[in-house]
Amino acid sequence: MSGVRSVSCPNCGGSLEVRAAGYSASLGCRYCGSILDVSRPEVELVAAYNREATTFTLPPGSRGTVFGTEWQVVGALRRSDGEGAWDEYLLFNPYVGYRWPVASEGEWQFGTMLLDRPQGDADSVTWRGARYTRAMHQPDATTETVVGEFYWRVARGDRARCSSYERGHDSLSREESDGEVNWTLLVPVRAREIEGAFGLKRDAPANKRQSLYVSHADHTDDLPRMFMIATVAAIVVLALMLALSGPTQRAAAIIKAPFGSTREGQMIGTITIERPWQFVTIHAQGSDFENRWVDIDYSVVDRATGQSIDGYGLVEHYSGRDSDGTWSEGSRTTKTLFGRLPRGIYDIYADAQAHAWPIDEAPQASGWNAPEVLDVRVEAKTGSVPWGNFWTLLLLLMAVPLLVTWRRVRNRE
Amino acid sequence: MIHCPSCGADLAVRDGAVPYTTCAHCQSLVLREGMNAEAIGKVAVVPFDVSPVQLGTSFTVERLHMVTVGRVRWGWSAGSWNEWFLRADDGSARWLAEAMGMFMLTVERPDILERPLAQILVHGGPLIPGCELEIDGEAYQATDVKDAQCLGSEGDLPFPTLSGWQMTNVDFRAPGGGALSLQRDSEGTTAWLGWWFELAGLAPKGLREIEGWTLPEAMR
Amino acid sequence: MSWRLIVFILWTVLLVSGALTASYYAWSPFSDEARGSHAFYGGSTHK
Repeated sequence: MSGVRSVSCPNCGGSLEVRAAGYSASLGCRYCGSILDVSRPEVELVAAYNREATTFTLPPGSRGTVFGTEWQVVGALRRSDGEGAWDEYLLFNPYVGYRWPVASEGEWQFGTMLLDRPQGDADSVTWRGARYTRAMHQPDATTETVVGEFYWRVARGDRARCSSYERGHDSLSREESDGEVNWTLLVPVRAREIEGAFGLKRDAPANKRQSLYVSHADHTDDLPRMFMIATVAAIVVLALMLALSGPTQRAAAIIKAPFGSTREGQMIGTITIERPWQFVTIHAQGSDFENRWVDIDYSVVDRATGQSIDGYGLVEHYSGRDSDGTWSEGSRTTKTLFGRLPRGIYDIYADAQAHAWPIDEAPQASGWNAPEVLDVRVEAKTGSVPWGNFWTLLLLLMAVPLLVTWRRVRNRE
Repeated sequence: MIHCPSCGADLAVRDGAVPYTTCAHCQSLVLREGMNAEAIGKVAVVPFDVSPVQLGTSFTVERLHMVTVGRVRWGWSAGSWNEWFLRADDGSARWLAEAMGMFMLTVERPDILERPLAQILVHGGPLIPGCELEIDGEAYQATDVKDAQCLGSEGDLPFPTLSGWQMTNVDFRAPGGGALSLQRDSEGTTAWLGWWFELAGLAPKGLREIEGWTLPEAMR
Repeated sequence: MSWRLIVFILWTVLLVSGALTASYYAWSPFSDEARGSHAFYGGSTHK
């Protein structure tokens, strides 16, 4: 039984083939461009035209194998909106159904009609658990040329009411025709998949342009994976940083900071570092002073070598009154981070001097009162987590997917 | 073996449970009652098409095997389509409607006719696209309403497919791929509930061989 | 699995191993201790 039904065009007499007999409703004559109704045994002329044949990249009638299935190009449409034009093809295989390759400026998409329908509203729809959002650009498509057969009524000059919803590079296209709504899933495919299948050679070299921001390699979007990898990595690093920070040991003392001179060598305490390397944080907390500042020089001395690792801390607080009201500035607490301390026993010492502000003069000691001295509570702790490292890591990790997202949002506008 | 009362040829009846058979030789519509056969008119020959289904094609869906026993071709203002009548091994009847390269397989659900929306159709009223019916928690939305005419038939069928036989068909679709069809003709209204499939999903065997096309391996 | 994703994974591995090495050796770019030239030869030995 032959698969093809031969008919002749009522307008120009040209002989045409109906390849999807029984399914096809309209046929565009490839000679004169007239539109015929082929849904019934009698062929009817719907619209007569007299124009030259149009060439399409995929000539109707040609056959090819795409993704393992053999297809025949049965129809081709050229459509345009205000800005550009594109070609839509209808592929047919009686044992599989229809597919829709679409070519727009050399970029191809492969369309399949959906059996199950997306649900949603004008802004977004959900299909098979995935959310698609309304595309910014909704083409108002006019059909310019019709060649071949289609399973719905087509006419030149048709204005299609179609809307599309995107998710990454895939899109769902909703079209209404003859009162029926149909959804098509469009996924990008390499030009050579389609054109190669139908035996066409490409003039331009294969599209190898790949930038950091636009990925053409796959239809799966790798951005969520990037975020996931970054998050997992951050969590793993956090856990390991906490694990590696080591046992915590503390030593604390209250030191005195006199005015006008430095009280040196005040012992804070002794700590033992058991890990090969560890961080030590020295936290200084000043008493409730005002308009004073205290400089503290720390010495972390390795008992074994006598070598000292030095650090500095500053506690300060100032306040006053001006035309805007009261103000205050400074912090009475400070933290000093010591890194790269090798295993050993350390004695910690602090030298401290207090200063007055704005004039650095020792307050006068009156006869009965001892000269003013500020108290600072100093605590040294091993096993601190270097938060600066963690935040820097997180920033560097997240920078890449955030940059990609920003670029994408910008492109959409 | 029953013979066609009009031309005498063997009437190959595939499904004894339905009363109407189209004689493949003379296109007479034969009404069978027990061993009696009466020719009640002529039926149009089904127009040529490239449907992969033919009489005798079997399908297996969810382990239920069914055989194609008859076909009706319906035409409406904007086109035409096939509906294949199937008899399943469990004795139930199915309809397989073809459209746009996809297939809608349904089973009769008379209970759905009790619904208020279906009752509108039963009593001769119109239904408009967009109206909704809830079945098993899913929302079925009417996608189209067609007034169709029989363009021809073959095989065994439950209603007489004489030319001029008309019906009103309302198709509903659910988001998950579910399909509902309400059909009203001069004998009454029936409701058919099922799913949309691609041909491969029906596990067909005994498909028609179409010149110029190779039957996929899995369907041989 | 685009090439961009692979590059990102390598970048992540680089950062993670860097962070863990820094943690092991207790190194941080934000640490405040003073080492180096003035505490070099024998260091500033405390009396």
